[in-house]
Amino acid sequence: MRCLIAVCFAIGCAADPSERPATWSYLHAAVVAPSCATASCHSERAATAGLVLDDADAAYDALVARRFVIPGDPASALMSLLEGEERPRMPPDAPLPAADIDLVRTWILEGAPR
Amino acid sequence: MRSLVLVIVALAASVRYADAYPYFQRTSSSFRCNQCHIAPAGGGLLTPYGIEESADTIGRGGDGRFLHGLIELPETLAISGDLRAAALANDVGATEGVELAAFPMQADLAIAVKSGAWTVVVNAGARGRVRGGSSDHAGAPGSEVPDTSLASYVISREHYVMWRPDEAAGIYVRAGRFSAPYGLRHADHTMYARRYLGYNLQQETYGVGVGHFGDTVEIHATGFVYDPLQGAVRKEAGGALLVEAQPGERWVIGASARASFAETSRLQAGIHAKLYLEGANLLFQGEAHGVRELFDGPGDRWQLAANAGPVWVPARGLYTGLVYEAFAEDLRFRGVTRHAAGAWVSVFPRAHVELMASGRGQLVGPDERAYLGMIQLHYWL
Repeated sequence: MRCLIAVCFAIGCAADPSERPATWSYLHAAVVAPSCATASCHSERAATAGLVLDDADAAYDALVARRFVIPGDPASALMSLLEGEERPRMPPDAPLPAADIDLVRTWILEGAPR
Repeated sequence: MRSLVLVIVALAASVRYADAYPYFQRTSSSFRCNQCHIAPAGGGLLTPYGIEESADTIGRGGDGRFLHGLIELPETLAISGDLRAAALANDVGATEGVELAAFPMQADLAIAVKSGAWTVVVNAGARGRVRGGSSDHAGAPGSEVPDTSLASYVISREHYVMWRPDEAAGIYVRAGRFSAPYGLRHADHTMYARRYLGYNLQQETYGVGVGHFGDTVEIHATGFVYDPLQGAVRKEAGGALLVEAQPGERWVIGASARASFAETSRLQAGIHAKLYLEGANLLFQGEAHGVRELFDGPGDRWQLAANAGPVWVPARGLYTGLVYEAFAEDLRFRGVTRHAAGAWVSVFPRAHVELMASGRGQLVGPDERAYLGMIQLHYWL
């Protein structure tokens, strides 16, 4: 299995990233926790901009309550931050892959399900 | 102003704490990290031998002792500190273009007290960030009130007790807060092999480590659990193993494994190597790690993180290098791999002083790009 994955990756036959689940539980584990909930940024201790993203449920509640995410609205503030239309672009050291940003957009469009 | 504060908030996360530079192994007179460092796997406080090396081999002279030798410390005591300032230009493809910032990057103090076979090591420093960056959305429901206690500004990254009957070779045991040895152990935590594999900023854990080192082989095994006192991003527990061997005078080869169990569990293993060509003053170093992540919800993924590059030492006190990095976020899907290329030069004009300039370009997925240029002034006590 490992060899198959490696070979697929090497020859570019990997799957379409839009096939990943557009759910909050997946997005938080795969995108938000490693890229945003870092110690000096949106961790419980740092709480930069008052935003804590290291716990999935609390992060969801905060993003929706503070209107970073408006379910169904692809113009939500979170998208502006991820796409660089607001400054600073998030994450500030390197953007997310476009496929990850698209997955966030799909999640919001589908009503931001948990 | 709001933007500048936020940039500083975020990029102060780029703090390079007083870690070792792995390219010193072999390019200096040392062939093992703990010849120069009190920590058994390198990094942090220097041994008397390391202090001499910092001036006479790595730097271009001076007195490497604490405060340049103004105060003579007893043999049982080691004190050091790091002050670092930085300026940078950061371009992540934002609509408003390149952002510029200058900021204090590091302020650390470290002390080691030795008695017989026992050593206690404690360090403390600023958390390296600006608190409470503003936001158009701040103050809305769901916002967290930042902790403004003294503890929120200061962190002790390492504090441990170590038993090591013989400093030259043999067994050691340590317990406390430290970073479980794994991989090449680059100083720059923004490198993919650190950032995404459990070694990002302030991710040291509490643990018990045992190890053995000789002239050509060393082994470090650690059982760890997250720090509940100073905050931890990952509420993890697990173990790590590092084995490193030096077959001959040119090669350093190693293998590592780490398992951490948390909301997202991670099983990872990797290899690393260094090849030093003494006649050319050229060191090649690289590492590659495979990762299996298991989510507590739906899904799992395979990841790959790797880096490699040469380091050239054209003259005493002058180090320069190139590095290529790759990180595949999920090997099953295309378009989610990051690549980075970097170049850097470090100058050690005298003991205690380092000037560093670096540049890094990233290709994130097929289209997104980010560029960072940085200069650093580093002074250590």
